[in-house]
Amino acid sequence: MIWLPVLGLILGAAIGLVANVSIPVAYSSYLSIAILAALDTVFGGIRATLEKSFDSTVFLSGFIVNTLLAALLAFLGEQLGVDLYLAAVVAFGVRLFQNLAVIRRIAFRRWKERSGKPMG
Amino acid sequence: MQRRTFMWSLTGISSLLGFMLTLQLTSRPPSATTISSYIDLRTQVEEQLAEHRTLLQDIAKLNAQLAQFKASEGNQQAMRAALMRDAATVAAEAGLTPVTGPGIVIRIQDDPKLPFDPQFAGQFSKVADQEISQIVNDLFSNGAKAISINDQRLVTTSSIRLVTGLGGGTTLQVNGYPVAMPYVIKAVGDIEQMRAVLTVDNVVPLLNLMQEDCLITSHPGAHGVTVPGYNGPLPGTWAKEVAANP
Repeated sequence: MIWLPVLGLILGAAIGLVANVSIPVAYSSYLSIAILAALDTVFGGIRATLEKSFDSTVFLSGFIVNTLLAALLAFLGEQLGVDLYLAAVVAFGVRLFQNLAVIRRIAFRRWKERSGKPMG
Repeated sequence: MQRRTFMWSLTGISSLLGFMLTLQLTSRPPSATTISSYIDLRTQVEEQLAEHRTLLQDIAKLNAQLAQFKASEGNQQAMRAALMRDAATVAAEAGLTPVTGPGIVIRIQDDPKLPFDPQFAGQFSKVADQEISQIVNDLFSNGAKAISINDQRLVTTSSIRLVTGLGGGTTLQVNGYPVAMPYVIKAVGDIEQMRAVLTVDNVVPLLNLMQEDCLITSHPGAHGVTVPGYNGPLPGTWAKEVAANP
């Protein structure tokens, strides 16, 4: 079952390559921020699953809203002449690492529990 | 069930993520000039600063060169001015420029009313050149700075000649130009000294003996006497030096 998201990732990449769609350079920053938001959502979802508090509504809405909001923030920042997208980058970046840290800890704890050793 | 939902959601999101990633990667222009990161930007800034420094050095070098050119130009101007001054001094010394100052005017003219002396009467026309030469030489050696005869300026190459015509008449020529009576000698210089030498030489009585009236007037003002500049041909006009290595 774990291979399904990986397969999805590969499928998405394949579609992107085959479709050969290109976006204007001006919108490149919006897309990059959207990618960051998506990554944040994915890792947030994995964390929630590991913590057994996953909610698909929160997950999907989080992905859509975060992505759109980040893109909107980037657009607003460009209009105002302030690099507002940096705020999104920082926020998503910090959360990404936090999520990764939590996932790592949980994974580590489970592995320890499985090997029968008590946590230090 | 929850895990299943999660997996499908994650798969969907992953697909979308993969698509977006590919899109982003393929859409990025391959140009190296794109500033994608802070480090790139910093490198570029450093490069620009280095270029700026190089350009500033170039400007400094060019400014130094400009200053050098200006200085050399200034030297040329100074040299030119000095040469102009020299030329002016030489011209003044050579008598090419008119001069003015205190001086005397000697006017020599036939005067039949003067007492007739058979020995000397009428002799002046035969010795006018000698007499006038004597007068100007005495004046030059006694304070005269510039002399003209009938507005012919006397310079180092000047000549005072008495030329006898075919009819036997004589004409006085100064600088090659014929001059006629009255002979007016203008001399700028020390009035007292010039008058003194004329008195010592008995110029007036001797001329009077030859029935020539000689009137000497003093003009002590700053612009008392004006002697014109020499305007005849200079020695170098026709005669050229022979080149040493032709």
